[in-house]
Amino acid sequence: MTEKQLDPALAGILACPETGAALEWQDGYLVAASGRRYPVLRGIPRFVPSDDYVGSFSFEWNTHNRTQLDSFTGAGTSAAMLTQKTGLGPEDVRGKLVLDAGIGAGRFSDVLSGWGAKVVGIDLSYAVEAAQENFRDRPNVLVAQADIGKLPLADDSIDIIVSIGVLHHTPSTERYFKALVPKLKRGGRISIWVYPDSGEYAVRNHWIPWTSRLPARAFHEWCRWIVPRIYADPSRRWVQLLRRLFPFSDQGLGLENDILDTFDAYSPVFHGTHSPEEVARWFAEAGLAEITVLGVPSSVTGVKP
Amino acid sequence: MSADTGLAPISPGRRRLYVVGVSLYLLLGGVWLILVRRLPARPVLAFLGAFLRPRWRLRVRRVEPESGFCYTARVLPWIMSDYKGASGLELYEDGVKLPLGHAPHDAIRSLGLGRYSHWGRRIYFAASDNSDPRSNGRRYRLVESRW
Repeated sequence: MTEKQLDPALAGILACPETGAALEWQDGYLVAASGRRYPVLRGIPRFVPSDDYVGSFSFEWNTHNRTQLDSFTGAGTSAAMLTQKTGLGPEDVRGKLVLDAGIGAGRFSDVLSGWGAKVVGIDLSYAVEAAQENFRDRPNVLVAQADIGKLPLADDSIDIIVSIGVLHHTPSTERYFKALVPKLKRGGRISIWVYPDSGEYAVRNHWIPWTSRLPARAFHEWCRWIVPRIYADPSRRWVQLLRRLFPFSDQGLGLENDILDTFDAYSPVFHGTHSPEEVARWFAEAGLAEITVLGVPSSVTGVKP
Repeated sequence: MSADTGLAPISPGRRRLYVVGVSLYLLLGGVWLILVRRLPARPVLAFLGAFLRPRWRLRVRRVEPESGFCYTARVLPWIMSDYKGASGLELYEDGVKLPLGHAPHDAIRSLGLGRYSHWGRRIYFAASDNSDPRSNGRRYRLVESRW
């Protein structure tokens, strides 16, 4: 059984990622009729044996487990970002079944569940531990550890899918995006934001083969050392030079957020960059309609006809 | 299955080791990326070159209004600006350094209060009190900072 009482709409939502068959809770496992069993550890259903290539996110979100949560900071910046990058507001999601593909510590699920959505949050990394802790008192959030390219959800089961800043960290942004679409109900909406192929994202692409090899703890300590020095006097010439060659996060959300975001920007193994036109093409190829390229590049939304 | 839940404290010596080690590693990576032309060499050369010649010291002349609180004046075209790299010019008003360099131009226009930017062949700036620098009687100078 789950360790928290879930909304009935969420309790039966998970399905076997291999067959799509329904799963039943049995003594610490989710069991399919075929006999496949998936463990439920610390209240979190586990569909993968490890965090595979996303160890940096396991480290990151268990270290900064609440840094970006509006309910913790009271800032409302994550809600604003969610709307900017998906076009969604409270009225769009209230009462809907929403998949947060790549939940992390739960930054956007925090907003969505606060707006009244029933949220399924999936992540490959051990960020699920942080998310589960953050949402332990929210019956309208179900957290599971799984590969978003092989989701433990039946086809045509989700009203809205959001994936903000996640798909570009998979081995193939396009393939993983297209694996999400079948889970959407007809008339359902999918909204994603991936790194654009310009500006600081393009510069960081060159660094990833170097920085992703660094031990997470060592690189995080370096970020914690350098970022305050950068912001102590941003007009210094060496800072300007460094920021041009090695762009640091500058979201205006405080030092801790910029340490987190600088680590986030350089530590992942995969770092895809894509133009808005390329992303819109994937939407068209996936058979989606009402495709809209939003103001923040490269954020695109569409509806399954 | 295991999860990394939070950070155990580390000694100052280990922290120093991490910082020095990562800095050297990234320095090596940066040099390599410049050599293979993934990163631009020019801003680095301009930065290093500033240590080998006298610093620029220029008077701001022929000030023209731009928009809002923003005024503009010409700067020698061969001095590296933020357009192509990292400008080292700092703006002084009657001998006092204005604190907000490399400012977005919209902020100079709408907020002013001593913000400035060296962009291309021009300096864009606002007086510290948003007065008109053509008539406020103050002298404006640009001095190059090496660091």
